[in-house]
Amino acid sequence: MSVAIVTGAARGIGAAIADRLAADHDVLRVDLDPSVDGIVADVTDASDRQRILDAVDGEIGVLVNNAGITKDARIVKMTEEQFLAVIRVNLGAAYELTSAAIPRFADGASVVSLASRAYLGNFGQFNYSASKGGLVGMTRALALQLAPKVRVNAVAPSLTASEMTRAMPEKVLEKMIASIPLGRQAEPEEIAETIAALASPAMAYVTGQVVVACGGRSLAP
Amino acid sequence: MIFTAPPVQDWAEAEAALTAAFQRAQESARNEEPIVFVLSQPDLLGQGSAPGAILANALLSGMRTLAAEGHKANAVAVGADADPEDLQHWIAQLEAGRGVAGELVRVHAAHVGKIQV
Repeated sequence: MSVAIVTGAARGIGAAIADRLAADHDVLRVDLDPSVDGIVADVTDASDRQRILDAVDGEIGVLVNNAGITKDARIVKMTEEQFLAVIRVNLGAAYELTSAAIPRFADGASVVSLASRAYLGNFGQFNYSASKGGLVGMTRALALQLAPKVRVNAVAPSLTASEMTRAMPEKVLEKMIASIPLGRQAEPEEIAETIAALASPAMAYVTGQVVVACGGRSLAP
Repeated sequence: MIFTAPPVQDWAEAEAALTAAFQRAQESARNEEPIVFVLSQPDLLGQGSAPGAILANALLSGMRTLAAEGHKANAVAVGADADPEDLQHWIAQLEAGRGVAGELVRVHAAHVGKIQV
């Protein structure tokens, strides 16, 4: 089995991705959270990124750039610290890790990055939206650069069940769900299934694309 | 405010350009001034370097968020063979900020048949 690296894998969508990919790969789980069953690492740190790659014995079959944070504020209130923190974790670290992994990819390897529906624009998230748009740009450029050996794609989820959504006031969550044509938030396992599909040979002719897994929210009024 | 994405070679340069765009967009948003990002169409499609594609697409998403927050923010995607006078015309139209926000105007962009970013 080839190796799949999943960042941000301690919980939520990342844990679901790692669990799903474990059916077909040896999974290396990476997270800053010490509870992760894998490598504790800060993906914004160059030496930690090297440590992640050093932990892989052989070639890399799948890389999932999932690690991400939010620090929301309207542009007029956002601090430069909030802006840079999100840009560095969500975007810079993903690009630097993927770049460092290029010599290690197997023929037919797949990179999947977690974008977000917010890349289409989202109130209060200039930093997050820009970071996810940047991931989309990275996906397109690396898809062209690494073809035909490696495919590069992205998934853009919308509201997904998590500790954060469980902590939301019920009425706020209900209002958000009301804007989703499918009438519910996604389960992490559903996003993981989309990523596993993109990473699999079943999608061998798909590269440079963004799958917007938003329950139809990006179409709704 | 007009912010033209500079050429970037690596992540450090992309981060510096993004930070400059954030600073200038924030100042303009606080002053309720129109915002126009000038982006490379080849970079939006990922046809150049990865850092260039990262910068162009990050700014496009940021522009759309500025519009979602009620600011007069738009962008121009410039093709490799764009006529400078045509480009200035469309920048001026968007800078006038009359009734459009969150728009991407493509100038000599050779975009038909490609992904609509």
